[in-house]
Amino acid sequence: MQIDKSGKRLLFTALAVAWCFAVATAYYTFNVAYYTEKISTFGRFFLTLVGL
Amino acid sequence: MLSLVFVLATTIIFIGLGVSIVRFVDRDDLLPEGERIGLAFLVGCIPVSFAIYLIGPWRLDEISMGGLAVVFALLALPGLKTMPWRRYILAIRREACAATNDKWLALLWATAITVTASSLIQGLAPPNDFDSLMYHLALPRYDVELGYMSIPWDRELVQFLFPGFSINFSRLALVLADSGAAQMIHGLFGIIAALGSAMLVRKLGYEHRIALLAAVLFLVIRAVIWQMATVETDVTFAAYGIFTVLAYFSWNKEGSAPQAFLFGLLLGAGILIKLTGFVLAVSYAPLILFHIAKDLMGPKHLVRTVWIGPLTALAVITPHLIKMTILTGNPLFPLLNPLFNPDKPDLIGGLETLNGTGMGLFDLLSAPWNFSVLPMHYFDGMVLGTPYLLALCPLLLLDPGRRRWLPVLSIVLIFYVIWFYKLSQQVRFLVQIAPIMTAVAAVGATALWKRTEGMVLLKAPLVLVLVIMAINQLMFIGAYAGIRLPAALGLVSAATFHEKTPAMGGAYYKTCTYIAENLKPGERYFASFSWIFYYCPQVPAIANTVSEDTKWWLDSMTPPAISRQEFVESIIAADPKYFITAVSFSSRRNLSGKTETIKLGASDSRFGKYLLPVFGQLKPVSEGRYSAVYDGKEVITLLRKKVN
Repeated sequence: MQIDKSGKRLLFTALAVAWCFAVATAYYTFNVAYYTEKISTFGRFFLTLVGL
Repeated sequence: MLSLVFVLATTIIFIGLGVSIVRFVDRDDLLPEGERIGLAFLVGCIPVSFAIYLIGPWRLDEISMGGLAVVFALLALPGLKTMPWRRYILAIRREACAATNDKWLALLWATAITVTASSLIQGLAPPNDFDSLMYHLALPRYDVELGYMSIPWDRELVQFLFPGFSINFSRLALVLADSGAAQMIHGLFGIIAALGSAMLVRKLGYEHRIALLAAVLFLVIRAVIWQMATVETDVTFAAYGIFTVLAYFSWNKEGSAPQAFLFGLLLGAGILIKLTGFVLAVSYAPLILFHIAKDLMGPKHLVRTVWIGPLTALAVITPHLIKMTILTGNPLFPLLNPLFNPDKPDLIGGLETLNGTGMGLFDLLSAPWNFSVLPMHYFDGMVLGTPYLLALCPLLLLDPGRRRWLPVLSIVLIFYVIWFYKLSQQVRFLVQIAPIMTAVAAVGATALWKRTEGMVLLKAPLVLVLVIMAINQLMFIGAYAGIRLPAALGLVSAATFHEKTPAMGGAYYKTCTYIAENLKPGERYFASFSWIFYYCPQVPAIANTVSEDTKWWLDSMTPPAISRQEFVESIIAADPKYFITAVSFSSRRNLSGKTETIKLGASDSRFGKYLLPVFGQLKPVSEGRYSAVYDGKEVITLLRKKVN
């Protein structure tokens, strides 16, 4: 019974971590276009800022 | 500097006014001090806003508003005297001392203070968000120019009939200080909302580090950072929303009449900030019914006072309901207009289909995933930033005390369902209940963190995900700071700021400023669009109309037909010195969020078919990226030729 309980606890913890990982992975996968545009825009902005 | 002094003085006055009422409600000293300060601020705002609402239609100038400020400052003094200042200083010292020995506490405080300071100071930058330019600030400017509060019917904007609880603070700020002060006052509500999120965590029995994490998670939401430096109202509403939750649970525990009164007072004020307050009110209904049913079988201490909250809220909004009934025949205007005015148009109809993937059950269930993970695809853009709320909120299931969240989550659930089916599914409207969700996320994150103690294989990926999202969110914070702080601190001129900062349709700063600088007293100008942005002189504008009937839009979706001949005759009679027109607008509603400029055509404005061919033959006297100003005499000469 004790083993079952701790196994369940471990499973739920692993699932929770997997959920966080899945959310982050999906977010960055689906927003590649957004970040490509923003990184290049802000890259240019900061290069201008430092005078390059 | 004037803005900072004004904001500091206003904060002290708000708290001083509210603290006496809160002390009366909390006679047994049961509320924690943080909750009491937040409540005092929010309650103190109410008499100030109502006083402006009453006095403003008669007089809105330095004398009336200055007099009001002096009276309220005197009224705030007794409350301020009763505040335990020494206890506050000791609490700050104690917290600073604790932070030196606790790196997480130090990190959380450092983040909270840095982000709050940055967001507040950004409020000193020139206003450049569309809604503020269109009405949140344009209407107060109109009133200040006029010298009293009025409704510019000719703008044909339903927004000018919204209850203006927090717009009154912008009126006060524009009279006694400037737009920077107006924006900073609204930023203060962001701090109160974050405090509310923290106090909810404390109220439900968690330690204060988790409470501080909840506050931080709220302050770093992308839309919160953006709105705290504007006069937009979602964050302002969020502050009232979360404190209604706290007040409700205080009443639910004690059942006292003053606590029920406080709950109603905050709910009423919330509705006057934004009509979505009605949605929040409805969201409480099942919970109230459940608690009353339970109470009837038990101690019956709630039944006696349950009516006080809703009736107080009704009393608070009654002046607005009466005003709307007189003006439009619909007390809830523009809500439910087909019900109150069956023969008149539904001015907000069809909004629910603007965003989202559809209206089915699967769409309802998948929307949190879609607006968090695919915000650029189906919703109103990158409102939340990284999807940390989506990742962390479900982790509440890991917390042993998760059941105590059910009442709070019932409010969220009903609000969400109504948002989905009846509102425009703009994610920024969900910021109004975000302080609850950030509290849930903080507890969830802590639960998972504790569970992964000693499990390197699980802790490592968790840390990786959290660090990536934290750095990314920091980049959003940095981007806003990089754009707005230089202008706020005076390192960049307003003209340069507006030229380089993306805004939906631009702020018309150059063209409006040209008109403001060249228009003499008594002269007028014609605007070929119905919204007159904040930077333009408001009262001298002829807003896209030549008809005396400026209220036609309440009765019909299409304006009265006016022939070219009639139009030209009216224009000649009005003799505007300038014509301002929108030439294009920008949109970033695409997957990359890249600005796309869309040209406006003759069919995009009411008199475009008459004016655009004329503008095409002339050189503007002032021109911005999105708008242009033409000389009135030149335009009239060509219009005459067209008629002849």
